[in-house]
Amino acid sequence: MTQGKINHIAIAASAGSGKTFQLAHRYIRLLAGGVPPDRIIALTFSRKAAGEIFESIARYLCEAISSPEHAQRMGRRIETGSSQGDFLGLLRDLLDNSHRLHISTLDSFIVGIVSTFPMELGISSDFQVLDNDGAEAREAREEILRSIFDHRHVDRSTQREFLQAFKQATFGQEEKGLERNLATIIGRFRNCYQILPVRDLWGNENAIWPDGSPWLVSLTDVNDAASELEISLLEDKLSESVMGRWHTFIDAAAQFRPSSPWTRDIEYLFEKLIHKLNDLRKGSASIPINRMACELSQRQCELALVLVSHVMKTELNTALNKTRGIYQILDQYEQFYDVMIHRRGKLTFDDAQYLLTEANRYSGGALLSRMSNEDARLYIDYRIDCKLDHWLLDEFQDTSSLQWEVLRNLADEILQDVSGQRSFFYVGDVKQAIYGWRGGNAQLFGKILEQYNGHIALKPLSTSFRSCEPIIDTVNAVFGDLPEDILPKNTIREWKKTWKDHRSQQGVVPKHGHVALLEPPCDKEGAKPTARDRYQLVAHLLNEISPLARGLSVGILVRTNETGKRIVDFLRRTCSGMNIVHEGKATIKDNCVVSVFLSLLRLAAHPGDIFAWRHLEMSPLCRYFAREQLSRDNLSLVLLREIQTFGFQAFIRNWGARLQGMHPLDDFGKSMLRNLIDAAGEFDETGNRDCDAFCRFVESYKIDELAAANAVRVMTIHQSKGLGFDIVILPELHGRNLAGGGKIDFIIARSLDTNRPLWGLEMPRRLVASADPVLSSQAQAYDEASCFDELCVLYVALTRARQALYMITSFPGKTAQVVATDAFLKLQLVGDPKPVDGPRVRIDHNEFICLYEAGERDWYKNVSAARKSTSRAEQLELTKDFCKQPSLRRRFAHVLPARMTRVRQSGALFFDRNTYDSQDFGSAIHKLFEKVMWADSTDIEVVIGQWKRNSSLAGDMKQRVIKQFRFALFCADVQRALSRPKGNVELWRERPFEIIVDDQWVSGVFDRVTIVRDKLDHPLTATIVDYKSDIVADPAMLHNAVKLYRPQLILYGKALSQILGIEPAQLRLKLLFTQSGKVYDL
Amino acid sequence: MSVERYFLGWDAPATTKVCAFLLRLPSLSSADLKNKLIVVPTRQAGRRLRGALALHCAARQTAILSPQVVTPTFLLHSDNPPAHVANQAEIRAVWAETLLEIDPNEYAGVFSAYPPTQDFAWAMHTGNMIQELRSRLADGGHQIADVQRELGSLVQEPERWKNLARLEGAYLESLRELDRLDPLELMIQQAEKPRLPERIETVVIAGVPDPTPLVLQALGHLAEQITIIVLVHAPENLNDHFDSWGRPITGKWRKAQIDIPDASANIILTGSPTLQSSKVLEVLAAEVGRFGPNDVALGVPDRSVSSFLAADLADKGLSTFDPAGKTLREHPVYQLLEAFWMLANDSNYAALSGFLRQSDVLRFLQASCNVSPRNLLEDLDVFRNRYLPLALEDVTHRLFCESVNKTENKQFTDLRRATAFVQDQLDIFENNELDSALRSLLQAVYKARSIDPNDPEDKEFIAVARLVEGTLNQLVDEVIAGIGLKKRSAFELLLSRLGEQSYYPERGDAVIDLEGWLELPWNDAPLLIVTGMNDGLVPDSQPSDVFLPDSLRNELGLRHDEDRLARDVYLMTELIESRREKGRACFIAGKRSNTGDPLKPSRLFFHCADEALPERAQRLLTVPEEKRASHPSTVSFLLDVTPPADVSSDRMRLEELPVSRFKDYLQCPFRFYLSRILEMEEPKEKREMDPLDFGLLVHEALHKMGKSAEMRNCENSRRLSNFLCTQAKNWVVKRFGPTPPLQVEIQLEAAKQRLNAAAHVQGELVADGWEILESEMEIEGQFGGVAVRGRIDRIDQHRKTGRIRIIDYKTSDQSQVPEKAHLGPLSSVVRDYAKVKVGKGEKRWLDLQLPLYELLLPNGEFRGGMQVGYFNLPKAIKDTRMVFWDSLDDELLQAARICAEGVVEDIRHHRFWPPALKVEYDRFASLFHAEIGDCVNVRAFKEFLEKQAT
Ligand code: SF4
Repeated sequence: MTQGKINHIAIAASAGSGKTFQLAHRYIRLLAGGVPPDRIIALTFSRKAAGEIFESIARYLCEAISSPEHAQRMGRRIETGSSQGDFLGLLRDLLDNSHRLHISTLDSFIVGIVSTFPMELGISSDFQVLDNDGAEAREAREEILRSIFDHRHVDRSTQREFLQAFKQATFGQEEKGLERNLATIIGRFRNCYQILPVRDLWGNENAIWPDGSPWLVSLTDVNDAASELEISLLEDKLSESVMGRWHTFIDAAAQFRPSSPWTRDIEYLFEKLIHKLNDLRKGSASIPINRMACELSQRQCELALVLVSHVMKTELNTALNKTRGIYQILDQYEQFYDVMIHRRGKLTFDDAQYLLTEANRYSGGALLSRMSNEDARLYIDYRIDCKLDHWLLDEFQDTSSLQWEVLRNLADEILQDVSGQRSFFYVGDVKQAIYGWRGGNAQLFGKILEQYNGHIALKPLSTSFRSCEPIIDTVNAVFGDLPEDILPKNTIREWKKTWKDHRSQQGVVPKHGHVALLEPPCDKEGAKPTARDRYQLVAHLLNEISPLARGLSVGILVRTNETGKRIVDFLRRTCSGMNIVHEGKATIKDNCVVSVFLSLLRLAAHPGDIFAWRHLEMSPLCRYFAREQLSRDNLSLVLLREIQTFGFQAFIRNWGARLQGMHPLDDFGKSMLRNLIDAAGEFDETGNRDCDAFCRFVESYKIDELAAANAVRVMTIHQSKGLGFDIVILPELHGRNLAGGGKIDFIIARSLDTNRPLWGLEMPRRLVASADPVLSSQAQAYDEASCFDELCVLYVALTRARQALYMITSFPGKTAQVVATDAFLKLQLVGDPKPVDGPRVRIDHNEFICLYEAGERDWYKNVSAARKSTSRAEQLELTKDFCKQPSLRRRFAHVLPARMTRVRQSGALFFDRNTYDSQDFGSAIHKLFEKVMWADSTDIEVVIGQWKRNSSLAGDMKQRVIKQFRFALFCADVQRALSRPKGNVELWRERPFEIIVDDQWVSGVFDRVTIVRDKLDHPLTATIVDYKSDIVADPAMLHNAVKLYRPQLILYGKALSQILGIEPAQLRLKLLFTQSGKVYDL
Repeated sequence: MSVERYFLGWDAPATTKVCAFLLRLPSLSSADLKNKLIVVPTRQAGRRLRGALALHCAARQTAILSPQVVTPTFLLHSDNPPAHVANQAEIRAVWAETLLEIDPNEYAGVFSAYPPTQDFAWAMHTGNMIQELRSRLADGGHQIADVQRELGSLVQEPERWKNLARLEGAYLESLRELDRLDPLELMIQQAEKPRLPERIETVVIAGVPDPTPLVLQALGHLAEQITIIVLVHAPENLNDHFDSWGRPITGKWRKAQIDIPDASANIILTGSPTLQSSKVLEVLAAEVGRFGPNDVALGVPDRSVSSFLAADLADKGLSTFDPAGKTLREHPVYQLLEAFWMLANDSNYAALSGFLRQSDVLRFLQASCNVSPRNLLEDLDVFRNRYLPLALEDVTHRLFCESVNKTENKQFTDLRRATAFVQDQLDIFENNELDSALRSLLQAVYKARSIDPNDPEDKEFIAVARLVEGTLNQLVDEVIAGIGLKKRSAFELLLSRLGEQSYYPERGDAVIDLEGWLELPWNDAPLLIVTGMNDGLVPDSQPSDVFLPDSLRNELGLRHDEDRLARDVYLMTELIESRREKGRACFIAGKRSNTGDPLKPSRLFFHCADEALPERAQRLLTVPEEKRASHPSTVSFLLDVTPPADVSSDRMRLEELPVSRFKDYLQCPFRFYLSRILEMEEPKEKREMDPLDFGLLVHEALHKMGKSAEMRNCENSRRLSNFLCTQAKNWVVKRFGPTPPLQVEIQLEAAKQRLNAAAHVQGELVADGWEILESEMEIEGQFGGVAVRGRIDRIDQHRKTGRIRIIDYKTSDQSQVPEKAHLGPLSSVVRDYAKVKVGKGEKRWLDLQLPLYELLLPNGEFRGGMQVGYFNLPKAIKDTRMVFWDSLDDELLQAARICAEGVVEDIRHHRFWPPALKVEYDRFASLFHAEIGDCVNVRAFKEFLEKQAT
């Protein structure tokens, strides 16, 4: 297997055409070509997908190993002649290096890079990564605002600037609440700031209209024009109603100020005039008012234009101004944010990305590089300890501009490399670009192809390995030929670029299948069907088909999680016995178990919270409180203590048990409790013990609600991306107006050739924008893009189905204007966007309209339950008896006698230097005594001198220790106890020992043992001396001390008698009190 | 002298084997190991060895004189370290100092892209990072300078290493100036001439698989003086797989196969950490009858599994012990210090309440200052919501300053006492050395707490106190003084040092230890279950590293990935082999971390024969993840909404009713019951004025205008505006002080704009002949025998026509239209009295406010045609204007009266059920997660209501 030149490839993979297959095979091909696995990097978007890439590589390799035929087939696919054995080698290599593989999400790759450059980027090396929209990130944002509000941190003049900026940004709206508004501004515009962090390009007239705007010119006096127009129109003797219209408009327009509300007074005629702009400019216009044409003279045209211009100018200026105000707010915010990131080491994934982009004002544009000789670049090969030669990017259409900023340089280096030993491979489907709202820039797919024209081979894939023929035919019918009269032309052009008619791979896809476009009929009074009627249709379909019993998988795909929840609720009630599951991120707070805990936690910190208290009183915990005599007066302290001592997880677990003790929970309740415990475990890791913070954490905590096997799965279309179902039901097909015209927040205009951002503006209302050539072309581009998005969402929805696809729409009413997605579907499939009626079908004994149909209606009748998943073996449950089971081994409690028996003391003593002084003193005395062999033969001054040199005690303490030591050794008792007995004597000093007595394992230390042995060295007698530095001033104290230490010495005696093998009677036990110089014989 | 290597075999666990070996040593007279130094891999291993020795001896009815059992680094520390070795606090302080003094521009190799803000926290943290690097290099006997000198040409970023070496030099220089030794340097020197405690005659290296190069160096030197016995937990026939120090040879083990008996049962793949924990229970359940609780060893290389395991096992009556201890951060004493640090560093209000919410502080205040915890905590919330204080000084100013409102002194008694304590402690902090200030705080707080040395929790307290004490002592050293560390920096340093330390709760009667991977070989329990067998954990690896990438570690002879892999292949084999005969070793891998990151199974699983590999890979990589069953949502328990004991029965008796309450009842009788009878108010945490405050502010200003003889007839809108704005400002100053927080200022600004617009409207009104008659007029009347009270914002009269206008100020964001606010479309469950004919159709009453105003006005006092309406002051100030309800005629008024009487009647008869199905904004949404009727105990409530009605 030698490595030839490896091409750069872009794969445009339509839905179901085997994107992961392509990626995995590319990977295997590289491996087979001898590329070490750690030189390949494969990036995708979700963590799940990253896991799947690795697994599918392994799976394909396993398959290739399984037989020579498979190996051959694989060899053909990757264009090498490899054998089973070769693939086994590759599998081994892959698994052996699994820790060095770079198969991950783009996010975690970026975070990984950031973490290897902490010093360069000025961040803490143990920085914490926060979810972009988790509770912690939100709290961090709030904290920044709070610190801007705090005059102790921010000087008043900065605050005033901020106040000004806020007023400017919210011009005309005297907001009474601040925090929410600021949060909204920041939430909405921060992204724009990151893309375009240049003050001069925000709300800058000259940047937007380099040649000057036709509207932002000086005008003749508006009031004069207004009265002149009014008079001149009066002379025209218009009908009263028409004149009335003119009058209100002229009035409102003349008085139009930056803070004026946009009323019907203005809008009615303004709109008409704007539509006749060219005529007005020409000097002769006919304005339709109240279905009558009102002809304007040249002068009247001029005057009307003045009024229109005045309104336009005012609105545009307001927009420019507000935009600058918004910039100002963001800029200040960003300064604080930057400090937070750098100083506090808390980053969101987005922040990590932003740190590595050139656009970042604060990092100074750290660019990643693979070339060690590039200046001012972060050289990554060395830091991540490998050379990333081969890049594989998945779902490329979802890459955002910022993400590409991070990778661009690295990719460029690869693409410009001529050695042929590096490669770039990306796969995606522009038709599935449904993440535009969170920054995905689908245009990158084509832009890169263009930029490296000829270097990258484009490989389109449009054969579906998933969907059956009727489905593919339907998809072709819907998307193959887009209606030019409805959709924006550019959208159609863009779509055509990526579109190729699909076909399905016979032999792989299911043979039988069905597609239907269904509608609930209008009721007898002709009322339009409601959402409920559509859900009812879903229920009937499920009842009719009984998919679960047949082992068919079902996905009900909707637009929002809210609809999802509603449908699940509805279906659970109407399709009893069928397992219906809402899938996706779900909060855990909406149930009685978690909410009662939230109240408990709130009450812990806020006993004044009567809402929480009453809630608890209503709950079963009320009985627990009564039993334990807990009231609102003492509860907080008890709760806070538990939380602070044991953490939230233990707290929830304990109180969960108490709750269960009062009221056994059902399975759902138990699972919610479990979720809460998990959440608490995660939160505890932050070390934070603040109840409010934890409550907020729980409120925004989300779990993956995963479907158990054999369930009808309800989820959003976005979540369904990458999945396939036997049956797909789409009950929520209306959506945005495909023809555009929706509200636009903010526009960042980009250069056509370089794609660089040029300027930003909070868009004025549509009507105003439409009158300006620059803004209207931006608005149009926006509409085109959003229409494209909408097509993508529909495309993803339709292509999830393997065998059956049920699209459920409803009659929108005769007057419906908007061409929403459902109307588009009908137009494409039926030829009429608003068909009133159609052929009827019976589903589950009810009649419905079937507007379109393909395939076999009873396709499912032959599907048996053969595909039913095998049920798992009964699980064994551990019972409480286990702890009483006999064990093979014995276990002993471990006792350290030195720490036995001490008396109760005030907590304050443990923070008192003197307490520790006396302990230090005690051990110092021990140390000195340890050095004494025999009192009669040891030169204590030598001992003292040695000790003094090595001891790190403070000077005066040293002196005290020495003084006591000298004194003790001077005492007769001590002299006697430490002198050498006659005979064959052995002396132990400081000897640790281990013994098992009375089922306890004791680890002790003999201070001093003197053993007298016979001639054969057998021990005859022994004496234990234990040094005590306690103060024993009088006989009573002595008595107490002896009482305290007796058990310890007796234990020591036992140990020694066992070690030496002599009778206890041959032992003497002595306590030597160093302070009094007395020795007590036990 | 010599190095003797013995192969112990691995047919039993290491502990058993080593123990048996030691007790068989020929030199043993009875069980006397006192002259032996036993080196074991970890502390926990040492503990297990000593326990096993004791047990062995007990079998022979004897005890044992323990050998000295140590971990490898013992050999690098001198028995008697010179007194002037720098301690950890000093090291940290010196590093911080060094980094604060440099010019980062001169170190572009290190701080290239982003110029650091050289504050203490940064300096300390960066210092730690470099010191950590030094300590890892020291394992191989290197310093940074060595790397730069010896590998300068080889390392990829020479400039960076040069810079780092310079920083290291500066740090060492500072230490020298302070007459302190760097412990790492000392350690490297020590390895050159290691010294043992006097009585030691033999060193036994017992199953230490990966001593550091520096330890080996020390051993090499020791071997020249003394006998070293190396014990290898493996059979003799593998002698070529280990070097002379008993280390598994990387080349031999790296690719070795691991024979896992019954792999299908003993390799378990599951999902998240909590599922791993459940799997452990399943394995245990399968072994009931064969093994008992004392026979179980649990490995938790992934710490995130351990809390779930501990809890799950506790549920089954099995207590666990974590030998890794707890970090000080988890202990309340640390939390107290941290809370105090927040206060001392920036005494903002959050820091104050954080400190006062420490349960230890609350207990102290309760015991010593007669403070009720409940009242104090309530005070904190009320005070915050009322005054939006930024900092402690705002509290002390308001509560202690004589000149400020005296009434507060009565109201916030508990808060005042608590703040006095806080202020005292802060004063002490300011005026004393750090250590005495903190001792004083801790002594004060814990004075009344009686510590029982036999109580497990108190034992922890003692252990923690000891650590705090020790660390505090390190900080009073003259070195710290010499550096001139500021008090707050020293405090920060203290906390950071404390936060890294651990304490070890007593094991008590814990049955099962939750051990790390490296501890496991020393656990001799026959049933071994290892969780967290995932890549990155077993073996652990870090291919990318800030300073030492794997390849560089390899070059420097430091432990690198291959070594770890080889070691762990050996360890896993050892674990399995020692249980092959009589036990079971079972390995669990997760697919997902706690936070949802995918995990890969450990590479060790794939150390199998080629034939088995595809099957195993299939199984471990492609098995779908196990999921926890999801249950359809249910209501797990019903809420009992009958009034609890602490709701006085008086509240159920209706004696009077404010006008504003009618709206609540009309909206939903049950929610009316919750909010008005049970007084359930939504909790608030204000950080700015809420809409209520804002309304109050605007109302007050307008009221002042209505009361001012001069202003009520003024038609000059400029003057009116000035007046109103001044009033608004005064109100704010009165409530929030002369320098209100910025957010309040912004809100005041908005209020002024709205008032300014109102002034224009007012000016025109006066010019049109309208005159303010009354402002905030109290009214009262009887409906169905109940007093109904209200307050009319204002009444105007026209000078010429005498017409009367009843006006209500509205400060909501959007303009309100009276008719729409009072009458709404009919819905299915409306009581008859609330229905009203309007024109051709029928509507329902939503609110009765304006009609009631008109009805309640004293008869005869106000004559002439009456108009009722709103004075809107919305956020779009262009919309500021009066809006009247001109269609409110007598017929409607009468309908309103009937409705009011109906409401009163219903409330008097406690008709609080059923609830409305839908309300516009449901403040009780957090209580009820399904239809209210499905969430509360309806029967009990109805019974209660019926009883009340009779
Ligand atoms: S109307 Fe004129 S005189 Fe009267 S209060 Fe107003 S400003 Fe003063």
